[in-house]
Amino acid sequence: MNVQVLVTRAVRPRNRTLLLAAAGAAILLFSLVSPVLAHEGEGAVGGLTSGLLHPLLGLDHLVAMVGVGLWGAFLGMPAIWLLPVVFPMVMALGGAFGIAGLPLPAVESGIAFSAIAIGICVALALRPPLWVAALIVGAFAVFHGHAHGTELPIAANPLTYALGFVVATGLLHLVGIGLGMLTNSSAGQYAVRAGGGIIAAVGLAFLTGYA
Amino acid sequence: MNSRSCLLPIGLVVFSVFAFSSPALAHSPIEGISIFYGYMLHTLVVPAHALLLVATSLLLGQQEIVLTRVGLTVLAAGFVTGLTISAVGLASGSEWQHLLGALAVGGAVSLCWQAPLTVLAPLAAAVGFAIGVDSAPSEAPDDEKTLAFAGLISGTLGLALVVSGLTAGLTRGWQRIGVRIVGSWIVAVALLVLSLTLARDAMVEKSPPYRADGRSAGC
Repeated sequence: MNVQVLVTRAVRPRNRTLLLAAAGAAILLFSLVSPVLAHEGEGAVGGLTSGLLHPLLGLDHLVAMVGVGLWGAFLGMPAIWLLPVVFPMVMALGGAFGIAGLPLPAVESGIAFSAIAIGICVALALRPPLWVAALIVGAFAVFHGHAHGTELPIAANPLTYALGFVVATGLLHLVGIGLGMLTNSSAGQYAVRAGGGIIAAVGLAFLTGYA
Repeated sequence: MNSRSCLLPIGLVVFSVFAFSSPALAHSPIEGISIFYGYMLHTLVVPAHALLLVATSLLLGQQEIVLTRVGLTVLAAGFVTGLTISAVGLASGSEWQHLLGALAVGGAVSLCWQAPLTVLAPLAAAVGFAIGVDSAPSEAPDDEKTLAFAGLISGTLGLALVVSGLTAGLTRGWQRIGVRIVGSWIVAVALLVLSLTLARDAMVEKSPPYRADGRSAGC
């Protein structure tokens, strides 16, 4: 299959909008990475910036969130939009646990394992029933939320901090969904599945302490 | 080149200007009108108000156009009423009420709930009232209170109009899904901040009272 056909299929009108949105989300997110804050920012704007950066500066968060979008695109409708709708709310529930001081064992390991599990699901092109996929993603969302939530009380402006990391998480999903559009072609499918393998490898590196 | 294909490069240019420009201090070009501009932005700079108003405007935009118009009218009436009551010092609002409202309305947006008028109208009125009653321009000088009120009303109702109008204009499937995703973000943020508020209040209640000399009252 030649490159021209591959590009034509990837940029069908329906996919083009999603691809543009994903590209815009990626540009917006990574343009924020340059100011690395040593502490939580001050004021509403500082809180928003800190929150936006929090999922980006944690590679384990980042790959898992892109993986959720990737797997949603793989699963197709309605998972492609259901997962980004449900995930923030379940993540917030985990965050509420973190704020309330309810202990959740092995949070960092859970986050690393989420990258492994979701990466493997993408790499093996697993297509379980929707409720199973939602259960898997929801379970891991609690861990991610708990990790973000424990830092909420020390943020200068908790509301804008929460807004920042929720929006950043959603935009990472969108990046994953955009990349998932490559599955329209057979070569793209292999590329996406390879990406799933990379996500799983990153998760394994965090779980074993290499990262 | 048609108008739609011009939008993308124009949008990219506008985005680049705002994304890569350094922050500038905003000041009014006309002497004395800074109060108007300042209070026009009031709802945006109070995050709990912005969250509740945006959630309600999204919900109104998801309804049929007739319900959207009625909802906006009732929201405006509620806002002005609340503002008047707070200005004379009869009542004020609280952040947790706004966040609870944002949680509920955001959930309705994520479910794309088509509300009947008998529910939508009181809801819009209550939201407008709740924001208005917490927006009194108490820090504005007495001789500029009218400008402050004008700024508050135009800014708040303008934001509601723009958000609900844009939402109502979204007709494609993926656009309406995007609105539902934004609703879920509002739910998530409101839930997190409410949890924090409750946790902090619980910690304050548990702390032992201290005397003026710093020793515990129980010693």
